[in-house]
Amino acid sequence: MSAVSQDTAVSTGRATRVLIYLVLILFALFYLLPLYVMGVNSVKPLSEITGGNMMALPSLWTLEPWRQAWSSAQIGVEPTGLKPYFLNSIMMVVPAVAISTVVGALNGYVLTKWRFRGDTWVFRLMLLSCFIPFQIVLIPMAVVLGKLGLAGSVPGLILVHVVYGIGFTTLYFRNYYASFPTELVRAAMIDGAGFFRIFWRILLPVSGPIAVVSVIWQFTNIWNDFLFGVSFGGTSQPMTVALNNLVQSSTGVKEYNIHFAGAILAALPTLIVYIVAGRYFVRGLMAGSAKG
Amino acid sequence: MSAYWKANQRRLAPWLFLAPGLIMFAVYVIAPIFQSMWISFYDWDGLGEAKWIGTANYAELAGDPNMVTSFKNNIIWLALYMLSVPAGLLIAIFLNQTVRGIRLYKSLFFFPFVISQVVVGLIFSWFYAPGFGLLYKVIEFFTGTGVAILADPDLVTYGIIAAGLWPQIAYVMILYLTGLNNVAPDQVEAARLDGAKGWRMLWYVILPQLRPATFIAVVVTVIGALRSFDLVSIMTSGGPFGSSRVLSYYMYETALSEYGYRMGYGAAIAVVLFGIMMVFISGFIWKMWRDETER
Repeated sequence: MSAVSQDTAVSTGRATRVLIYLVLILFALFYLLPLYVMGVNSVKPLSEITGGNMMALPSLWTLEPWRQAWSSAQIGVEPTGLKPYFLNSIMMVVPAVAISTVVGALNGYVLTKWRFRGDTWVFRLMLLSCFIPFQIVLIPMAVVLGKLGLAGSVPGLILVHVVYGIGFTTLYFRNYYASFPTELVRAAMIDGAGFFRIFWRILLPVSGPIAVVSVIWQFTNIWNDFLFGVSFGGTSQPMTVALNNLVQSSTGVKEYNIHFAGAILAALPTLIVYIVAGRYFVRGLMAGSAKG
Repeated sequence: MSAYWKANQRRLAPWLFLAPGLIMFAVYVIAPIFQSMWISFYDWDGLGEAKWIGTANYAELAGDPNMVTSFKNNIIWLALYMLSVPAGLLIAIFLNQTVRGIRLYKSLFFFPFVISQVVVGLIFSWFYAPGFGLLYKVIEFFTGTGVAILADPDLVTYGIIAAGLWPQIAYVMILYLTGLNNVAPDQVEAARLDGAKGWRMLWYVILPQLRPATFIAVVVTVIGALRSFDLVSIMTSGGPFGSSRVLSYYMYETALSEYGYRMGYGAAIAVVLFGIMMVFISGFIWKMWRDETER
């Protein structure tokens, strides 16, 4: 991305360059400060936070808050730590991401390469699920999940996330496939290749970048979701809801150091995914939004 | 059967393969919208018999002071959230430089964007926390007395919005940065040869080319502002005294929280929120459609 941006960048002299560095450092401090505060306070005894300075390095380093946040902190009424909820989130995220990406790829393929009457209407309706306020579906969804026997379960959450993720994944794949030469698909049809063969042999091999985007986007969205988790989570709540319960539980003193450690635990998976595959995310965001 | 399939394969296949997505979509997205509208005409506790009460829920909404607060807060959210568009643009233009390490630097800004709003909300709660919070201490240092922002009915909504703007500005900035990469270098060069510089260059050459990025930025910002549920729920649970409620939170509170049992009333709030959003959504989708047919 830098190769292109260099041409459009403003050329600068030395004095302005120094100024730019100064401003950049200020921005960086502003955006990194919370990370520092979370990290530093998660390895302190509680007394150092409430009594002293939030910014100071710990005078006594300890991993105890992390251990407690993970395995013994009070979540709501149970002293289970965040561990079971972390596993809930994993069991929810992995299938939900996989299913919504596969369905999105198929939809995108059909909507661009098998044009039919009303295909734009179908697409436009699907976009609706990216935009609507979820409050409008909460009550009926709760009823449906109850009837399916999925209320308060991980499969129920998977279903909800797949449904509301398809809009986004379809948008990504549709925009990506739109720039793929349709002549190649036509040629394959003439040669007698069927629906799946074309998808499998022609489109899938070039879908790598957009699949990565879809996976990252869905992963962050679903992992970070709070509304569906708190509404439909029941006894299998995801990490975000558990973190909220950990922090809000009103019994005894607020153990801020444990809260900080828990917050990092909740943020870690998306941060890792981003650090590992973030490059694709930017690349794909451009591909996805070029026609959007 | 197989002969019919062979003859019509090309016509039927798209529908067949779209079917899983479409059916799910119809059952779980479209139908619930109408069901919510339907429920909003009932008095229902979620378990017992639902009783038809016509527009009574809406009549009650009109005179509900909590509704007025929520609605007012939603407007404040929307207005202040829009600041993230120019702010994100400015930062993006500023970051679009060729100094050393800028790539690593840009990726720093993704950090608030990828973490959960729950964590963002907590970070800001700690930042505002009376006694040891950083902002509290700073205010105390300058004025002598600290301000507990999240406990002050007049300030609380602004405090929460500030938390929301932090990732939102980053999001908009990322959109503009990718947009800036697509700005045609030859046009910039041509304008430069014609003597365009600084603001004129930005206004007449760069900005028109950033229009797609601006569009997406506005869409995600409006939706983000109207969907604001997580932060309110985590930072204040609508308090103090319900002064930081927004429509999305009020709906959840009346229908689904531990105190909520009024499904019909909650559904009516959801319908109002949906109506507001539909005004924006139809505008967006109409614009997307128009742009696509123009090409």
